[in-house]
Amino acid sequence: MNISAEHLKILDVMSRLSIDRASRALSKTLKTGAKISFSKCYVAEIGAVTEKMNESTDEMAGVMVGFKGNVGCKLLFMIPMHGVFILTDLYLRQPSGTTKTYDECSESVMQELGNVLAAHICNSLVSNFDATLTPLPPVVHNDYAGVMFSNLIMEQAMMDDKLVLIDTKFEICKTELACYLFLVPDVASFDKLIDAIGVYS
Amino acid sequence: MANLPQNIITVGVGELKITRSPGVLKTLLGSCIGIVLHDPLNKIGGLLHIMLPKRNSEDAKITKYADTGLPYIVSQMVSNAGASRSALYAKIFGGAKMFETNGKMMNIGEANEFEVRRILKEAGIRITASKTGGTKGYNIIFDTETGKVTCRIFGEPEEVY
Amino acid sequence: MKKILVVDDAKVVRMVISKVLTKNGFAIAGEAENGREALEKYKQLKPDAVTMDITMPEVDGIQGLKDIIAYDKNAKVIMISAIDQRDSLAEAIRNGASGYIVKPFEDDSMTIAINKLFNQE
Repeated sequence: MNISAEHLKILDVMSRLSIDRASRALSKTLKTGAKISFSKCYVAEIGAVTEKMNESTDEMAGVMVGFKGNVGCKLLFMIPMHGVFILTDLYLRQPSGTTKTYDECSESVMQELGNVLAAHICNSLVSNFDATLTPLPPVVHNDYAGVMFSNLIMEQAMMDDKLVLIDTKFEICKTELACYLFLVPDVASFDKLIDAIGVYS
Repeated sequence: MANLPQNIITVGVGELKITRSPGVLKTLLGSCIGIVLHDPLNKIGGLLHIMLPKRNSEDAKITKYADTGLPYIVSQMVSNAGASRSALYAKIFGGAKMFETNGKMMNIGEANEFEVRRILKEAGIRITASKTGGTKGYNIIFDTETGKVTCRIFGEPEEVY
Repeated sequence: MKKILVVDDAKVVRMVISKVLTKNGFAIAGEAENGREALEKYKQLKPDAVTMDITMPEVDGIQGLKDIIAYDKNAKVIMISAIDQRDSLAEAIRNGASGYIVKPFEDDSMTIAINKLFNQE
């Protein structure tokens, strides 16, 4: 996997714009602020980044979304298991503390949040950068954070020892909940998109 | 899990780590297989986290693959760490079926396990314990002092192997 | 009372849409989780209108829309999707959608859109 410094910078701009749009959609969906507290686009060495993820045995609720179009990308949105209950109450406009167990409703909230985030990222790439991109149906999966993360990057890891990773943390206002969003772009297809815009290395 | 030791060394995807007692090795596994190798005489242990059965290109990292990673960890344990080759035994974990973003299940776990077992058999290294399959992740912690592996599959109780 | 078929693969979205619709004087004819089920339920329940998500497994909402319109050229189908792209909107309109609402939506905007469908009769 090779990406020039210029293209990495452009990808950083693209991802920030897209994630900003997605965070506003998330805020509107939950009717509370979803503040981006951390966002970074960088080249990660797979062994090192998975080693870091594997240090924690946090149990997470997660949703993975693939995309179809002229750029390849995968998304993982995950939150601590107890956080699903908070998000379910927010989504359904129920009093805080109403949802106490993980059930079909909570699973479907994760599914829909994954859908909204992924779609708004696509919307940004399409309207700002002329990409052709729509999300696939989300896949909800709860597991250890490191396992979900490895699953997300598995395709890239099979082909290379490095990948480009966009790593974002949101904080949901009026709660102590932190959510994590990872995007793994297919570099070759994004290089073509960036070249098509007219930015050359 | 309760009371995790301070001397934990974490292993990432396609990586291997070797340590001696009182070192503890840990990793998380989905479709990957974690192979624990232990020399009980010298209390030296290694953990290899492979993701694919066979190496598919010459410049690919050898520790990602069962066919190149296993011989490599054995040679590292024996030549560099001073482990006794004849005393080595193995335990294997992981190989779950994981979802892909297209909603289908990835079945590379089974192929990984098959290749790992084949290579260990060829190398004359006995597998004394294994826990593989399912659709959820594995959290494994390997204690080089005792050779025990504490394994907790997501959503299930902890078991010791 | 007008009956609406609510189509979305996410149960909570169907719950929220149904709640808003019933609060505004509509009845829920039924629910479906994808385009294939949407056509089956349309034929069975004969709703007055349909709300249709786009991104769904098996058969997506655009295909569901096409199939329902092919079955009943007067069907009233409003797309409700997080995809906010000109091409998606154009495709929906071209295939007979009566409206398009972007998620996340305000409850009012959906109610207004549904009411408009029937006020135009």
